[in-house]
Amino acid sequence: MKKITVILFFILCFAIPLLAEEEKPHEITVEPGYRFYSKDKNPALADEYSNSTSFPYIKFEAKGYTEDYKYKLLLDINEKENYDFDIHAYYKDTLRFELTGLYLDHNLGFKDNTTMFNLTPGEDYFVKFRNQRAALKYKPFLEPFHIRVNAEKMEREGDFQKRFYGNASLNPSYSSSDSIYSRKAPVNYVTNLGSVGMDGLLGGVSFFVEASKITARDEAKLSDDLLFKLPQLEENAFSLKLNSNQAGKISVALAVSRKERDNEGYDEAGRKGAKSSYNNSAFFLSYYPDSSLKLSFKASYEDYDQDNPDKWRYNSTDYLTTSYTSYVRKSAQINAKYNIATNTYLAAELKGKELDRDNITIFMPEKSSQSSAKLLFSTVLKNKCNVKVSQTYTHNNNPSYKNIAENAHKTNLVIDHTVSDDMSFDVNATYLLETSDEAFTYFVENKVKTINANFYYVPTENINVGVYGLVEIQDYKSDLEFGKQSTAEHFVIRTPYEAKTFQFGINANKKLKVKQDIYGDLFYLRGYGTYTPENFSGVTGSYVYDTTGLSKLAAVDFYQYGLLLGTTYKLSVKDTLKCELGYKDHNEKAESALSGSIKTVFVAWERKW
Amino acid sequence: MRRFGVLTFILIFLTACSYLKESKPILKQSDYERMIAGSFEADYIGTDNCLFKCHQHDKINDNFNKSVHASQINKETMLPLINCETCHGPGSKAVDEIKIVNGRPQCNYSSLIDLKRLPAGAKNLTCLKCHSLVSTPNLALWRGSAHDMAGVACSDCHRLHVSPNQKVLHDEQFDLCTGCHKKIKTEVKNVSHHPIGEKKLVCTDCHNPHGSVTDKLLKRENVRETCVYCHKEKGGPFTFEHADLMDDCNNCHKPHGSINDNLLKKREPILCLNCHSGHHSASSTSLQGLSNTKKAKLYNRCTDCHGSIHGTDLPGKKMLR
Repeated sequence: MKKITVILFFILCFAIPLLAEEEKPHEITVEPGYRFYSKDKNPALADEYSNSTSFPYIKFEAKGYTEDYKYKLLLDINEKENYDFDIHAYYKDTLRFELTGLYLDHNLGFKDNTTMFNLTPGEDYFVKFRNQRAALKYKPFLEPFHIRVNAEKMEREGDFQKRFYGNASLNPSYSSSDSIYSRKAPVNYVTNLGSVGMDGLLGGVSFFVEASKITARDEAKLSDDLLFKLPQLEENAFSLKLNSNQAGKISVALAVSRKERDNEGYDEAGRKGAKSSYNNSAFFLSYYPDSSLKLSFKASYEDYDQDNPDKWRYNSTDYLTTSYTSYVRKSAQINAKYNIATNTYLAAELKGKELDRDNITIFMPEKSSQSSAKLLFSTVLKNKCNVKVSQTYTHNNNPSYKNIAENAHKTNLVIDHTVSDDMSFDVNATYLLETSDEAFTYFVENKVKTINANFYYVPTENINVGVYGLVEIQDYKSDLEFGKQSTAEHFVIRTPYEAKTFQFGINANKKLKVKQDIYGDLFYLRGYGTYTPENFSGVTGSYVYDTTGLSKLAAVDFYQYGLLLGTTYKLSVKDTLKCELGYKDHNEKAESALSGSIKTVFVAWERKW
Repeated sequence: MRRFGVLTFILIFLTACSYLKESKPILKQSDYERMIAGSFEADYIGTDNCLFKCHQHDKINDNFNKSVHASQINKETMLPLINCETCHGPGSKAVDEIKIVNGRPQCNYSSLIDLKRLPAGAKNLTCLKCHSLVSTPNLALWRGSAHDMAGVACSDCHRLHVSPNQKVLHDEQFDLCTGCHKKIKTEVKNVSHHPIGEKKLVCTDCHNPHGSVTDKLLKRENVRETCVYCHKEKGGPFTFEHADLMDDCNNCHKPHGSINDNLLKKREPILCLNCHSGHHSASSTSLQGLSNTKKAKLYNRCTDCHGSIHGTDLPGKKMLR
């Protein structure tokens, strides 16, 4: 795939410009430069999607347009293991070809933890993510009919820190006693996707059909170490969409899809892994009787089934597997929008979902249902101030999981006000209140208050200033349970959790002279969370319980800030110099090993032809 | 007192709506349809005749000629030609009544279709009158979708005259979407985030703004299918799986950003203890290096032991591998 990509890139780089013969049909931009990195301690959280290594930078872009041909080529090498390419080629309305590539390094940043045995101490952990996509759309006839072919490859390659519970029975090199270990584990997980589809218009009905096949394999050479084996999967899927004219009073659409997914893994006795099938059908009806009213209805039916082998042999022992839950989910939704006046409307939404489970072996309910209603009012005052208010109520009957509330009320207010041509601001405030009375859940109450605000100001003709902020405060109460219910050991303690997020940022740019721009960006992020269960350490019945240390494990306390300053200077119509200085710092109060900072200096010269 | 307050509010609200209805009335559907047909007193004169008198729109025309729209339709298909008058209406009257304003020639715009002042639904009809005749499967579920109901016009995102690009470019997409969805702009700046700010992932990798089967306009059939498109190794099916909790990744994760690592809603072990009961043991409370004591105390985060939390093909109680 990599070789094909490179060959295609060069063919298109050189062949398409030759095909296009009109006067000055091309625009070419080349931008070489260098990005210098300097890091302090652990930069993983300050610079998560980078390997923080000084590296040359280059950007190449070529565009060409004639009446019949259009193309665009882009190669953007940002830093080591971080680059993109993008190739688009169009010929009349007959052929479209797109090839895109995306590469990045994900800095996972795990470090040693004193509470576990680290079998590979001092390692850094990175996973390279690579994604290449090719898409071809071909129109063979004059009629509206297209054939579509897509291919995609995704790779995750690198090392991550595998943490696991083990003992000598798992591997003789491990300690004989039960304990927690960590070690470096290589991964090379490759997903390949191919699909063929077609779309067209038959009378008043548009159709789209597609069949696809996906395989996912872990290609890391770990066959002797099953502990790190990721699943080998194969998926076959089919989808169909039909829709009537979108411009009429009544419009109907239907979407159907089916997926079958096989786990291609085998146990020691030759039993094949789990298998699942998923079907989804959705029906859409919309009726717009006149310009002031819109009504729409949507219904869907989902069906999921999973088959497992009865037993699974590992290490010469047969283990019983869990028999699997299948489910059917039915949902329906009605939306209505009434335009009271130009720019003023009232919208309502009613939703219902019902989930039926089969073959339940765990604590989940057989039936769960959810219903919700939402009312929204939107208006524009004096053509300057857009105001939106909405209220949503959701009720869960027999919630599927113990962390789901029975009732939820959500109020949202959005104000977007343009004060003048030079000044505007917007505020988005949300209040969520969730409560539960049902004995089934651990959930007691959740309150989340969020305010997000933005302010834009142009004090003089050449200066733009933007300020943003976010405050989110969550108060959460739940029950923490120990021991089995209806036994002497069972007891419950009520535990509060509080989380706060605060973000603030300011950015500005100024045109110093006709030739020079400067810009700057400053941000601050603070995250804080405390979990304070009642301290309990002792014996109830014949069992020992201990909540000591829970608060420390669950605590979140960090701040992050960064500054970016940059300038561009136009040397001539074709040449521009760019320079950027960046600093980002992450401070983790609870785990100082995760604190670190990164400094960057970026210089580049852009030339256009 | 509360009832009186509610009644007063409803009364004020209805009065305000009644005032707005009269001052900014919604026209009949047929009126909008007539408006997007253009002036019946003018004739179609072609792009060159529209432009040659003033050359005010040469840059727009240049961008248009470089765009896919310019070569979109083969003339032999007998479908309508795409040029200035396809969307703006017949131009003869506008050109005939050209005036000099501030030293520059200016057409009589009032005889053209006033696209800027049309409501979104009417604006979109301008696009749909062609896109209903050519096959555009991306629009199959547009009607009744969240954006359609919220009054989003095609031209709010597809700014046809700004550059030759008629689609929203990869690099421009995040700023475009967060122009309305402003809270998301701050969420993705959280310490745990997808590489959206880094311009590696974009909104349309997960969402389909033109309509979808799901809530939140997700691109695939449900939350799980959307996430496992990239995170296949977490999707299974596994021989030993985390029940049907796997159905909705949002039970544990916040996809747009979180203050907790791995985009978790809460940090471990609280997240897990919200559904599961705590450990207990019949013996001592120590863990490291000592046998048969692992359950008494929560020394570590849950996934340090239950490492294959999404599922595994290796036997071991409670996802211990």
